[in-house]
Amino acid sequence: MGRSGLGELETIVLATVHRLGDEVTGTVAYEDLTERAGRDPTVPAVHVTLRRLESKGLLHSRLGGVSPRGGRRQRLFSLTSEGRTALAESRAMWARVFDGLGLADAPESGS
Amino acid sequence: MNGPIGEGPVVRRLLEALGRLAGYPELADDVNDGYERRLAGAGRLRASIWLARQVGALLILAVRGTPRWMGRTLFGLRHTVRRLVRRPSLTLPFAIVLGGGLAAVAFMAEVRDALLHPRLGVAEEVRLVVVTDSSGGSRAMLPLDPATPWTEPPPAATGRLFTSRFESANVATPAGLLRVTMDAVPEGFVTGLGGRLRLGHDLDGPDQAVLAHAFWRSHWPEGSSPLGATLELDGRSVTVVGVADPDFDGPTCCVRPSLWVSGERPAGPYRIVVAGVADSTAAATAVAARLRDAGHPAAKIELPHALAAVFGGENGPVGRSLTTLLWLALAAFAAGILNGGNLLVADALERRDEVSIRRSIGASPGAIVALVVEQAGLLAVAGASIGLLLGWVMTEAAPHLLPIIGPGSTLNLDLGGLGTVVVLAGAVLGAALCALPAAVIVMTTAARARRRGGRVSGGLVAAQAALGTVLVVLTGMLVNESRRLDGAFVGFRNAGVGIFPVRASAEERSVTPDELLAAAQVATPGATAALTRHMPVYGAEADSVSFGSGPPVEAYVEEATHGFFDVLGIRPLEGRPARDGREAVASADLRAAGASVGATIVIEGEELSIVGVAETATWARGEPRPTIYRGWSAERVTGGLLLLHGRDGSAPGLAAVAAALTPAGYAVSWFGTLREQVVRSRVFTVFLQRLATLFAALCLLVVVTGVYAHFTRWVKARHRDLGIRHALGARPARLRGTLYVAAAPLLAAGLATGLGASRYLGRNAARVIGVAAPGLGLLAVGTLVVAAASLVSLVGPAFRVVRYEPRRLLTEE
Repeated sequence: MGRSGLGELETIVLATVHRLGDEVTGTVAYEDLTERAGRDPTVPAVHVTLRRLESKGLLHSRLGGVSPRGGRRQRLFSLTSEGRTALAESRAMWARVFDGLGLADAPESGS
Repeated sequence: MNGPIGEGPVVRRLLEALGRLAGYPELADDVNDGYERRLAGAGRLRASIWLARQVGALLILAVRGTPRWMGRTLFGLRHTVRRLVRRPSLTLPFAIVLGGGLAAVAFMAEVRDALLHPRLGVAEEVRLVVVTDSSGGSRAMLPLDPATPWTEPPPAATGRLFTSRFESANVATPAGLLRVTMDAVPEGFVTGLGGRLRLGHDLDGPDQAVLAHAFWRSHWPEGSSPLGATLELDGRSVTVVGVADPDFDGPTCCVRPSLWVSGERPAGPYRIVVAGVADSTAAATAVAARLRDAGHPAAKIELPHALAAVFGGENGPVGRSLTTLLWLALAAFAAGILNGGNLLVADALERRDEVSIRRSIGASPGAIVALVVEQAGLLAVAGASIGLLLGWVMTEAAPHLLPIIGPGSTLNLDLGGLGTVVVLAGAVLGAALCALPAAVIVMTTAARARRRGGRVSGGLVAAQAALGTVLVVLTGMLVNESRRLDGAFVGFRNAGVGIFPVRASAEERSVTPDELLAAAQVATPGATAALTRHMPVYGAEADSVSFGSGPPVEAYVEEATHGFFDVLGIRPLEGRPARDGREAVASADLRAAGASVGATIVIEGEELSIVGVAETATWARGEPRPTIYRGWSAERVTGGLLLLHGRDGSAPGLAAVAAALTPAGYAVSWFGTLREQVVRSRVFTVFLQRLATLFAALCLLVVVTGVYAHFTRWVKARHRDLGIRHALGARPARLRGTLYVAAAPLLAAGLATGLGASRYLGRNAARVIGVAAPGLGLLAVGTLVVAAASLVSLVGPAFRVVRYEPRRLLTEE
């Protein structure tokens, strides 16, 4: 956990929401981070993380419309300015931690 | 997990409940979406594993949200769980007998509910009215909130007013060419009525189709997506854009469409579905009037009570039989409770040392009883699980027991609603009733417990043998009744005759049956044709007719054009066919009543001349069907049933018939062949017969499992005595004899009681449900079947009698 107070999954989720832009649903964030980060957390874990980030003021959410297939109204998450700052701090912290270690980049998965 | 979550409402409801408990109500939808994505991309196995992980995580999340005391209770139950896991001889039979009974009740409740109280198939919160014109042929429903005030019907532009027209078409699917019922509806129909899409999206353009879930599952390979596929529907191409959720059937009680296709305000008769109006006849009538003013030809509204008559309602023959089967299922459940109680009594007797120790170190009576209740509760959970599993298997198998031909006639069972409630409530009741005698046993002193427990246990074995006998005899009564009613008109030779309902598009287009027939014959040269007023198999009602001054007799009066006999393959014996409504042909069995050429017959005060005699058609079991075939030629009609029989024995196609009659202003549709009608007419008797047989098997399973478990424990309790006697030289057959001697009086008492009870209950049940009382043969067969099953169930315990190592037991002693 960095000075920003973000855990690893929190950082990944926050970065995912940032990458996907405004109004991201839980399921979209989940699918993106499993594909991009190569992690396989559970959907409930991602939802818990999203809510926790919201309670920390790094995300905010609102209820949107139902999906084209009907059902419950979807919750849409967006990054707050505090979230953006926390993400930048987190990135800077990890850069400092790894700076000067001379580690090679990990190979792309599947290559 | 056996398929998409949408296919198993239990899983989805579990997810929703866990999500709500955990404070994340939107999770169920997200897990559902993720599962579908993996199902399409990674296959069923991987998707199921993924789903199991999500459910586990959600469960942990939900448990974290529960109060602390619940956690402690769960921890306390661990001891009981371990004990039960180590005693499969208690756990498995208990779960099977209780689960069997629960499954039977849940299944019957579901079947009865599905057949007698058909569901609407749209979201409950959508209030709607279905308006149909007088010839639309649909049933309408008003599941509206009476407290809601009348509101104006919303305009079509809001997407809340829909036209709907049921049509039939041939469609090529991966499983082959099918005749399907489709509903032509405007865009947004499914979601507009509160339905959800399982795959893809709702109709949003021309020439699109949304498949019914059952249709997709039945006719597409497992795991394959139909989205984007092009279907040819009698020459019209549509693209599949979605698959509806299994919960959605559209506003229909009876004919369930296989697909919804894009279609705006069709030219023929159609229904109007209006969402968002109040529930009252006045409101619905006002809707109809306003719609008529707006140019929709709404002429008739049918109200929900019309649905009750779908299968004759609760008091119809199907309803009565289903109610009786439900009682039988409840009796199977009672047998399960007797068995379960018996097993717990035996277990309580085994635990008396443990209980004595617990009490001597200060355990309160409440804590001791709590042990038994806890155990019964956990066993009931196991029973409920087996019950749900068995119930699911039965609901999956039930449509295959229903020999219905054609689309839109499936038995739509969903164990996720009523069935699950029944299983859970039954499990709680079962746990309480099973725990009661065991709790009494553990609270008495050891010696008294042994005596009392032995008597209770033996009594319960006898009781279940009695109950089993009653169940088998009552089931036999139903089977006999079903066989007796297994009648269908089979006295024709040309079973391949095609039946085409023909209807004039307007009253002023009425013609005579002969003229209509002539128009139809143009379309099908070489085919024999006839027009009838009623369905030839079962459409006509039996009337009272009298020949001259003789006493009136019962006969079926059918009105048909003169080609009727040729088309159906009924041979005329003398005279000629009837030319008009003043003439008739009598079936040969009416000769005894005075039917002969030249005789006069009176039907409802009207005199007719008998101009011919035809051979007698029979029902399936060979009973004659006395029939008067009245001529039908001059009266002006707007429609009838066209019967067509091709040269090669098959029915001509709809396209050819429609090509000739549609330009002349007649709407033609395809009903099926006469052979299919025969099968349809027997569907429910066959279904009830198969259900009753299934129940008899289930009852026997419960009884056999109970007897087996009881005597297995009997042997276990005496293994030392039996082993020592074996070691001392007693022959195995003699040792086994002790088991049979112990079992015989119990089973004999049970069978005798069951025989008497069957006779008494059978007579009463016969009076109530209107079936024949059980004869001596049925009583004897029922008793013998249960006796044989009980003896078979003793084979296992009998082998256990000599399975112990005598020398070791002797050394131990």
